Amino acid sequence: MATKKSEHFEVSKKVPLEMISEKQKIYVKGEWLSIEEVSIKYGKPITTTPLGILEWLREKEEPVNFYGLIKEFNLNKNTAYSMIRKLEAKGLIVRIGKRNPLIGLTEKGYKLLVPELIEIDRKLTKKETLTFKNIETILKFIDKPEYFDLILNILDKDIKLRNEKFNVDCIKDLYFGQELLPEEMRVARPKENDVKELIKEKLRAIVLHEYRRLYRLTTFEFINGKISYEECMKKTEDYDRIAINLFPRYIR
Amino acid sequence: MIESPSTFSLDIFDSPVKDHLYFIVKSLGYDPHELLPVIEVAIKRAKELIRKPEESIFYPQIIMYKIIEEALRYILGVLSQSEKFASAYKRIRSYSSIFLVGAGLSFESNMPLSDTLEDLLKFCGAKNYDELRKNKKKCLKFKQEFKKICNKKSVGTSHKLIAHNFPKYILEIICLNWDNLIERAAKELGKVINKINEDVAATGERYLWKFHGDVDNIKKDNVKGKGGWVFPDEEGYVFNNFSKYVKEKGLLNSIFTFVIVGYSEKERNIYKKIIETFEKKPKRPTFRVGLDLKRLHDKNYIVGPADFVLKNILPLQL
Repeated sequence: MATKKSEHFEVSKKVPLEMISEKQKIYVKGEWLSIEEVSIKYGKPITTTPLGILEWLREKEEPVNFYGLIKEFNLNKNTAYSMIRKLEAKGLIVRIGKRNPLIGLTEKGYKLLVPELIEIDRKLTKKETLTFKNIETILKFIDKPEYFDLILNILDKDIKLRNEKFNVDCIKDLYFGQELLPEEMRVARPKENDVKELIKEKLRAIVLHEYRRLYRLTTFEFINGKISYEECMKKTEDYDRIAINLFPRYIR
Repeated sequence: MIESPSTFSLDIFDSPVKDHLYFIVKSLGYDPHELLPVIEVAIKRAKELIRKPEESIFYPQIIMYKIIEEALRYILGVLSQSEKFASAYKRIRSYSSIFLVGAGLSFESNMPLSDTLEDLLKFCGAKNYDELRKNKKKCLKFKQEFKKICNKKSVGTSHKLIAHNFPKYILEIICLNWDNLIERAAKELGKVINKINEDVAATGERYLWKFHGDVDNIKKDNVKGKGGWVFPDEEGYVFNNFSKYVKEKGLLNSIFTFVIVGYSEKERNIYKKIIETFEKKPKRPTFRVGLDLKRLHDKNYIVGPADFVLKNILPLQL
């Protein structure tokens, strides 16, 4: 079964600033400036995600016109239009007028901008995977349908990032060895339209991978003589406890 | 409704855990078949560390991966000891050795260890070892039943390796086990090992010493030094003639590598009369082979199952 992709917060296909080496400098009238400095100086900001648009609208505290948005984010017309339509379909923004419409943030859109989740999303953009603490934060929102898309987007990004960084398929690992276990211990994959269960599945996969990653790191610390056996066991026990607390239980 | 957790045993994870560990070991460039004894011990010990097995029903993946990661910790720990293996190998080859072996050696052959011997005690109608010491009939039955169990067990690689390296690289074998697996291993290899299982004067040299009893020497009376067995609740026993032998043959003044395999060193008499003497008076290269991962960073403690470790430290291979 294919994993459901978040529809409204797809990662931009353009290269985000964070992916460009910070060391790269550009020559500007006898000075070496960073890409970020150049982008601000010449009014060519790095492109954004739909979430970035929502954040910007909140910062503005009033509706902005379509061309203003295009200029701010250096988007082409079609991309901007497509993003706006998606946000509008979800009721997160409204368009007022036809030519160069005003774009306004709705109450629903405003409420979606929870600083904790935005912070987590930014971390992922910086290529940092979720920590147990981040997962704990996400769990506070998993019973609120209005956050489902945002959470799914965050979890998808994290799973993708883990795949890139650690060469793992977290979802596949979650179901590893199922067929060898007794039937009552096997877990069926969630249905494609059951968003909440999809979120839980991804959370389980991430918690499990993070747990194993930390466990393995502790093993290497012990084997390399950096920590004692007692410290190693203590750390591992802490990970056990945290992982079990964060792991959404299976409902049979 | 969630089924009662008590109906599950951690053994249900054995198959996926083994599959996964095989895969990891292979991806690390090792032959999983060669590491099988290590993998098996690692899984067994990993399962012992799961404090709440009942949670496996709620979090099967976490429990399964905990077993995998814990077992992997053990395997990686064992494999990280190449310097220790080399150090022991060189010293055994240079100075030869004296081996002291305990119950851990026969672990791979599935001989019952002291904790499971309680069942045999009960089977023979005894509540404890004291009753065996007082009741000749029960004591005899216990020995005979143990012999029957022993006869059904196969000789392990470690028994064969010890027999094979004796007497060229292993000068003397002190075996504190009642079983006759080393003797059988020698027989399989077409060798004869002279055995001393009673406190009598040794006329030659290079022996297999059995201070604590022998399934090949069962007598009605249980008298120490006269074929009597020493039970796990005692302080251990060393033949007087062994002490004389050690002096007469000049072993006390000789350098040799002292190797202790699968022995807990809890018996005071064994520690005082043998271990302390051989290890410290004067100081000799000494290696201990055991399963305790906690001691991974002890310079002279080699972690791992005996068969795997002995393959790496004994000069003559099968």
